Amino acid sequence: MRKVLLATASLLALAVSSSAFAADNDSYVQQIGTSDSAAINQSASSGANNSSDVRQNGNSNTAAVSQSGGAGIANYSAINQSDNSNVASVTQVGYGNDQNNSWITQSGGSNTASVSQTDAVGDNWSSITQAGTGNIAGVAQGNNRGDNSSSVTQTGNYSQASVVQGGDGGWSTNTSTVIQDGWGAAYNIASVTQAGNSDNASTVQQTGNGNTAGINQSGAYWVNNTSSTYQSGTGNAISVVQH
Amino acid sequence: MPYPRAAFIVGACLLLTTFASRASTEDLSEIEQVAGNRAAIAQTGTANSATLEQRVILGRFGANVATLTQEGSHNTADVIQKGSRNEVVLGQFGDNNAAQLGQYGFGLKTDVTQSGNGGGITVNQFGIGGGPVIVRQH
Repeated sequence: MRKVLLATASLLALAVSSSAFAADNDSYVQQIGTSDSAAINQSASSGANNSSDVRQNGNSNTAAVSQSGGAGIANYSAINQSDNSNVASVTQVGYGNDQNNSWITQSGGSNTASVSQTDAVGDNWSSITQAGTGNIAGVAQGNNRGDNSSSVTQTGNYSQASVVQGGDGGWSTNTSTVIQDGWGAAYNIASVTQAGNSDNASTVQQTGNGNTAGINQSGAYWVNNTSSTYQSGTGNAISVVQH
Repeated sequence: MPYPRAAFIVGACLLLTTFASRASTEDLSEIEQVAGNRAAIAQTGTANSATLEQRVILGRFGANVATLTQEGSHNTADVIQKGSRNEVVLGQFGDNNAAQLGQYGFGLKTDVTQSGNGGGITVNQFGIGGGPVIVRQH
């Protein structure tokens, strides 16, 4: 009888421990060459984490990462691409108190990076760094409760950055930083749109000539909208709308 | 009752169009706000332009506060503020800069400094408690 009780207790403990420590998803991809592609799709159960690391070296590579899961998960995605004409896209979806985290680094020209993060309660965090000419960065973060944070840094000319945070009825705090550092005729474009029922904060910094910055912040009447924009060069234009 | 009515209209809709040069040492410190809009714009270089529009629903707490600094020549600034408390501090340093400021609501404050040759400034205030409007051109 004693052995039966011990065996039963051991089985119970094993069952509890296996449910409390759900298995994480981990992926690492490295590709060296031209026109390579990587597609990572991760779905975690509640309490587990998704983690993806993609490194591509060469021209015309494509990396697509999709991560989702139940409540209490954390999504981590890192994409590093070097050389020209690469495409990186990240989609992270959380349905509970989740954390979405994305890093994208691209060096070379004509690269495209896009990040889409949605969460019911948790926080969204995105960082995009691009160096070269003609790069495009797009970030969309939606959240009912929690914080949205985005950082885009582009070094070079003829680049575009678009950041959209929040949405109707959301209670997230939105924070965005866009830095575009051009040389001479830069002609970079930065667009930031923030909306919701919590505070909005935007920082845009552009250097070089012919840059354009557009900031639109909106929210309920108790919302603080804060915008800080700096441009250095000739023929630059800033448009800020707050309401 | 033509005069009281006229006085009320003038009081309720205060229009100031200022091209004159005025000097003052009044300090327009930042407004402590419960909620509202705050924008800081800085541009250095030539032929830059900035447009700013801030709106707070009348009767709500909160303020519109804007600080614009342009250093260089041929820069333009266009600012519109609508709300209970509005404040603009604009500095343009260089030649032939131009600015247009429009404020609608209550508690309106404008402080403009232009240095250089040929600067132009237009300030329009519509509301109650217009001013102070401070314009320094030198």
